[in-house]
Amino acid sequence: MIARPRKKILVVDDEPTVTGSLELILSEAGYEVLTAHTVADAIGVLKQTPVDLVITDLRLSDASGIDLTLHIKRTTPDVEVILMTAYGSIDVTIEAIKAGAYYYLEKPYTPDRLFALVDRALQLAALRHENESLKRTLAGDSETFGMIGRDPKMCQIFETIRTAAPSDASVLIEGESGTGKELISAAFHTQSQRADGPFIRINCAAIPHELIESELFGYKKGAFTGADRDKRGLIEVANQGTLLLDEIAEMPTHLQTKLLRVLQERKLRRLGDEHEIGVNFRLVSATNRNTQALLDEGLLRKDLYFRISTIRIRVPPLRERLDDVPLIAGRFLKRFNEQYGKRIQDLAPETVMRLVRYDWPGNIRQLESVIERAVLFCPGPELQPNCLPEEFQTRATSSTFIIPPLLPMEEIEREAIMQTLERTAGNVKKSAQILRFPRPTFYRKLKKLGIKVERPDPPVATKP
Amino acid sequence: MSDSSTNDNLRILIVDDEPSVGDALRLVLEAHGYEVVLVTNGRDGIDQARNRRFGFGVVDLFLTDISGFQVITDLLTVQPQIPILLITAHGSPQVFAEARKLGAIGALAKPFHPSEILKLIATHVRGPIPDTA
Repeated sequence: MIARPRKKILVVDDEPTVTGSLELILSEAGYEVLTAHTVADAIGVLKQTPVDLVITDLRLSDASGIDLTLHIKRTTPDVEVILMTAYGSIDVTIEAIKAGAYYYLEKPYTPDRLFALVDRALQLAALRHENESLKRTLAGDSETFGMIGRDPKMCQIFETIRTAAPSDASVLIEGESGTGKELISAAFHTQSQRADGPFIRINCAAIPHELIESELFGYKKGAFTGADRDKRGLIEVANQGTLLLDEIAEMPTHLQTKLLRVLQERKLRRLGDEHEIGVNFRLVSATNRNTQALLDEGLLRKDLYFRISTIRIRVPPLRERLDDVPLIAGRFLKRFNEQYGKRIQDLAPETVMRLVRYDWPGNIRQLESVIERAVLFCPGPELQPNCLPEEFQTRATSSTFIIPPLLPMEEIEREAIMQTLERTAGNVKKSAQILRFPRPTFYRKLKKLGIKVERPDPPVATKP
Repeated sequence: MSDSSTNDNLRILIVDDEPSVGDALRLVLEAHGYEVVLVTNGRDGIDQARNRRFGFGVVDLFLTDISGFQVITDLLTVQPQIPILLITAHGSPQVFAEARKLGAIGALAKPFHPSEILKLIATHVRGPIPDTA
């Protein structure tokens, strides 16, 4: 018989010969089978062991198979149920399906029919499971390629990775520092056929210009003073894998020309070597600057740009996807809780408010360090706004204006009234309404504060 | 009666008026490659044996028309070579002894695990044993 996956099935029937026979043939077919003879037994078993499928008789001594189905669908809706009965009738069938039974198996049945139904029910259960996890992914609650986000721009990026990663097309990733360019380039590697090959990352901004050439292309012994042995360059090391050139515009232009030649000919020559070596790698480049500006300033060669940007990805800065901030902050909270052995349940609502009002110049990397620091300093079960760094303390309050320090209430009132009068062109009635003062009170205040209204209130016969 | 062939040996007769037990046995035997004829009374069982050859018979003691002992006797008259197993919910040493005296290969008390019958059939059925792996 064909080996089937070890899925767990619970068989419920009051007749031991029936449970015995199903146990025998289903376990021979590769399933793990549990048995119960009453509904109470079955519920007991289900509490102990999660199963994928329940096959139950309709008539049981203590309750009906429909009662059991209702219980299962209430407690573990993912578990499929097949109801069997010798007493088939339309009424019972309808009742069974209403209760959520996957299928109705009328006795007598053949082994083929049983296996077909079991297979289908388990496939449905697996599909349902898959659907759920897919929904969670779409909702952005789970990670995609190590990244989180339900922002449409991020979803578009995930989609591009899924479709374009398997090809060998060159990728150019543009995005500010801390937006996750390296995670995206790693995803292009892991989702490709080169996943088993090396993933080599070079930050062109971090290597002194004069060393980039030998690092990238390698050299032959004696190529220059100090070259006391042959050395492979990182392009060669990336053979059969992916090469990430971070901050590519930092590469001197003469090396950009040399790199272009390697990309065109798929061959390179080590420094001081006359022989060419074939190389096979996928290039992913990244830059934190606007490529148009780089081209305009001549920092990036146009011909190289066209060669490396077959697929172009622009990673949005965090301030352009502030809706993702609570989600990402929540994920960091969980991670740092684990890392530091803390038990902070949640971000306080005011904390979330302040996080989404900030413009995040350092992007996700900054959010990460803000949450890490807050987790370390937070004493309670909720992450309060006072655990956030200073820049979150002054700006993002709900206040829309700043009162100068050391000002008495009388002065504040005078200022409020003066400004309101100014805005209403000296209309006392309107100003009183805006400031919610009864008019007589307002007049008394004006007199007390020594404010003179230049335009007299138009005479209106109203009683206070 | 049909011509004797190896396939006839893989045909099993079950005489049991309790459909749940009969169906369960049939399920297991069919899953193991046997052909099963299930009847719910003794006379139908004997009629079946007059029409085709069986490799094994399973007979319940209490039936609605005639007793399982009578079925054993009549089946062996029609097909003397057939190995027969008596199954009963009211097993006693006397019942088991009587079954053997009448020519049955043995008796099994209910409830039993179907694997027990499967083993007995596999050892008594002549000809190739179906693939049970």
